Amino acid sequence: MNGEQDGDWGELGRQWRARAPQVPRPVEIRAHLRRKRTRLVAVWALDIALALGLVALIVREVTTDPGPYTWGWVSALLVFLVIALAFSVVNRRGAWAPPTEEPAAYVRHGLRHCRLRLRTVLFAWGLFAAEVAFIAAFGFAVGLSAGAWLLAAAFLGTFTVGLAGWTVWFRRRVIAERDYLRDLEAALTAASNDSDAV
Amino acid sequence: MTDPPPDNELELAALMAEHGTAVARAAALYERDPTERKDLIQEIWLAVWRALPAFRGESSVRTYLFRIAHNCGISHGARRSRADRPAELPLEVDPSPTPEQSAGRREDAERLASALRTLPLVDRQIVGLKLEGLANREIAETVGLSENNVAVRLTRARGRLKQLLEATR
Repeated sequence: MNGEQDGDWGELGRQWRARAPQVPRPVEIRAHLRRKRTRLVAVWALDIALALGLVALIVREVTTDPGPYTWGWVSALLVFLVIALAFSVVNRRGAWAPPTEEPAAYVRHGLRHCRLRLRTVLFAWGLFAAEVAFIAAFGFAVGLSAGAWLLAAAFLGTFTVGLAGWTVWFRRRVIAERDYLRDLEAALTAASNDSDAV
Repeated sequence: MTDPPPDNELELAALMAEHGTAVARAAALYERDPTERKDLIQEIWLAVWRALPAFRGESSVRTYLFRIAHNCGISHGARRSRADRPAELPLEVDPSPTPEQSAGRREDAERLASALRTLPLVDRQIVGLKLEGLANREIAETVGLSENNVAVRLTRARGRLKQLLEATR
């Protein structure tokens, strides 16, 4: 780099460094960490409450009406839960942090995260379809009344609309993120290739 | 979420005192919204806090800090999917002895900020680091490119910045 360029960068650097944005204090970082932890604890608490509610429901049904149909839907519910939990664990394996503090590693990690989240959407629909199929089969086997069918259909219809809305919102978000990261990956690759050519 | 080791707190405070404004300026390259930018700055320092035990001194602390800052910026930009949008850089300027000097600095800083906003993200990162006074070797380490490539990109970006700054003078 020649002297003229050094001078230019020196002057621009002085202008840039004249900016003195506010710096957070360590106590603010600690508060930030506390807020994040509180959010995580709230999610865990909700998960635990849902699990306990489900267990209570199962125990009540099994003790009040211990017939084969009760055991049938309880078993199916447990199978679906185990499948969902297994997917959740497998889908997050190795996806917590990039292996190195390199920009390319961050971008690759981000892209992988996007793929895993899009896979979650497919899984959610697959699991929902399997549950609907089970409910329909179970309903015929038990011989549900017309009113019960109507209630089940209303519930499943509402759930389908909710799931569809979530899918559109979630996919749009993940795809925007994926496109941003793909552009960045292309820019980094082009920069590296440029580097090879220099 | 694990707590960062408490014995790092003093080290973190020292780093924040020494490099805090530079890291905040780096964050401004990725986020224009002041509230979001504040969150990003806190995320960066949180990441630094967690990463400190893994720092083995293979590069300078300053290079390591900037690497973390820019990587957090990438993740933040991906989450917001808008890091390539023009970033409104903050207006804070060091106090000057006279109001005229202060106004002049603010005007210069704004023109520079406008010019920087037109650069693609990789060039913006490189120029941002150059303006912080990093050597080309340190910039190359931070962004993961070769030193030659950094030099070529800086020359191109400098030409573009110069044109833009002259056009707005």
